[in-house]
Amino acid sequence: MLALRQNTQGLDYSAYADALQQYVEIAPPASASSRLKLALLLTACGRADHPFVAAARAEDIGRQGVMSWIYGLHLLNNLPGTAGEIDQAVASLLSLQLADGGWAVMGAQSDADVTAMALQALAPTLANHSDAQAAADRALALLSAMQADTGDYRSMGTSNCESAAQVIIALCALGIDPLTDARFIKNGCSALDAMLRYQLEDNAFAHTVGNAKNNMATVQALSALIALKRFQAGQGSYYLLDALPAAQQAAAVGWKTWAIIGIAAFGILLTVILWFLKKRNYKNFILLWLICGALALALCLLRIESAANYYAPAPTAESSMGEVTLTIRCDTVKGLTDARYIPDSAVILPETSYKIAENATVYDVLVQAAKENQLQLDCRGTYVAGISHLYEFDFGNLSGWMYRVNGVFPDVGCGEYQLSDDDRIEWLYTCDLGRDLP
Amino acid sequence: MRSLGELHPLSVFCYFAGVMSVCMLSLHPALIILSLLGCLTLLLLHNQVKARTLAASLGLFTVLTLLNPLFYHDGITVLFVINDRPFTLEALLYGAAAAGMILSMVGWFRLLSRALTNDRLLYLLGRLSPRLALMVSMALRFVPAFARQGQRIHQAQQGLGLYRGDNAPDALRGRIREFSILTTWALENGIVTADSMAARGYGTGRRTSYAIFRFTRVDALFMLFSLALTAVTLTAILSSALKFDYYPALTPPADTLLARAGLCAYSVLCLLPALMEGGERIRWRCLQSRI
Repeated sequence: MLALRQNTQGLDYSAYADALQQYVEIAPPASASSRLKLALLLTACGRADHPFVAAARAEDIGRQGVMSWIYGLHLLNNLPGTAGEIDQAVASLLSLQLADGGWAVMGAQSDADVTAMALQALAPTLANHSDAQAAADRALALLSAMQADTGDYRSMGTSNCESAAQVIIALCALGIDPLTDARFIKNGCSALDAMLRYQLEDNAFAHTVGNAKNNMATVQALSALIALKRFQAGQGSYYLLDALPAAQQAAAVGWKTWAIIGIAAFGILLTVILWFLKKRNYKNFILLWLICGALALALCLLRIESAANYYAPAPTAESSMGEVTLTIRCDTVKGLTDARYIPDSAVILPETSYKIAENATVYDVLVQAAKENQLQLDCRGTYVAGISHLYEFDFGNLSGWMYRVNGVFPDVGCGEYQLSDDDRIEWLYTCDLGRDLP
Repeated sequence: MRSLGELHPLSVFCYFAGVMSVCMLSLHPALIILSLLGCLTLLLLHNQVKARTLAASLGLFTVLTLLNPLFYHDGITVLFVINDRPFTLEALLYGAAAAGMILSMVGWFRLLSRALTNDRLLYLLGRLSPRLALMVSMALRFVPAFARQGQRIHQAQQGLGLYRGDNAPDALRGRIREFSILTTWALENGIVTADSMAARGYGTGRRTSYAIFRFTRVDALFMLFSLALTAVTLTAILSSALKFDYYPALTPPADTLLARAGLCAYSVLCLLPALMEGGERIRWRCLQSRI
């Protein structure tokens, strides 16, 4: 199902989603990895708010060894507001890394499949976790060494299709081209060449050379091919779900069109009523249609989304001008009162990097960060009055939010400051008009 | 036991000051509901509630409730997001509380204007300052006077042929024109009134006043009772025993003795005139049935 989801646009998954929902409600599996896989599939078909997903997230991540951490990390990477849990999962997964740099379900010898899957799960978190980057490099070195002279990968001693497929997906997730990177080409054969050797005449895949077609092999080979296709097209990693634009937009357009039709119908009804009440002066009708027009215009400018939709992860902009980092801190009010939601570490948002588009302003990045991390943000126009329930004037008349770019407080509002590549934005809460900030 | 209109103005004023100050100082939902119930009961007893005003009040309540979340986005329960701004449940409830407070203040002011008529208000204010009393009495006189003059202007303009066209934009323009005529007349009338008062000797000698209100024992009891109840409630409010926080999460105050005492005191305070008048009517019915 993931293969379809990540490859083909415009399919309707509602029947599948209903069936899946029924399955998890009636007879959910007991194994943690299976539950997490099902939770990921539910998220993939747009049912992330089903209680099963929340239950899996709360109970099953890490319950049954390395595979549950891996699938848990896949699930967390696709849900909003999971920064703390991702930190924990990454740390746990890294603690399970074996001495040779890889991972395995059991034993001290790394397995190519499991190592590749661990890399796939860690790939989206590498930007924010430097220890994960170091571990990933070691794992990549191991995978490079594990590759046979024929380009193949072995699992438990046997060259097979699935291991090669998983390695391809992992490399694409990490941004490494499996077809050109020298570390993963042995004797001119890449992992893709190795995998294609298992392809049969009817385009299915076998587990090992010379055997009949195998379901798991075919599915994993398909996933690898799609991952490679996405990599070459510059799209996101295979396990990072694209947003469901078709369904969302259809819903959004749906209610607005209906509302405008409703306004038009109301206008026609009033016209007919006025006609029959004999108030047929042309000025009456002009006024009526001007009011209807104004209402329709106001409606077009409104964007109403449900909370779940708004805070869901959005597809990253492909044409980005660069990256900036954003931090939100409230050190000046640390521990002062329990009344507001002030975190103990005084860090509301740790240093996170965001890709920015052309002409992005500090305000745009802040709104994007609030969306992705489910932070409460209160702006009057582009003036930031409150972040995460911490408002201006809560600690005196001189208290409020100020922002700094590269260590300097700009003189313009955050809606006017144009960002450049590699800028460092900090949002800091001050109790004394900025004089108490380091 | 008398109705509010028969008591001494001072005790009536103390009562209303108590009720309205408590209503304005706190946004605890129980206090606001009690206040609304109190003024609604009294208005019903006086037959002052019409279906149209009730519908208009409900409309005002809805508008005010919905307006608050559009401007304040604090609160942890997000219902939906409009143009990147969260519409939260806490802001909606805060809006409802504020709207309830405004409506109850409107109701109490209506009752106040019925209980403290012009002459009583002037009697009260005259003790404070005769100049203030004069200004208030003239301002109060202007309201019905302007309404009457507005009527006359409207009829004159109709006679001159202003409202021939039967459409809304022209009618609106006509009303704006009448309003401008009324304002001009009011300014001129002010000057004329001043000249007339000067001609009749205003400012030449000392003003005296005569009051026919007697402060009886019932008035004293009523005033002391309402002041005591107000004091209890205000103590509860100002000591944060009745502090109801809406942002960022709904936090009702702890259920202390002071909080309960404040709520009980305010409920008795709000229903006091209703109880008095209701008691009067029941006594009257009993006495009548014995005839």
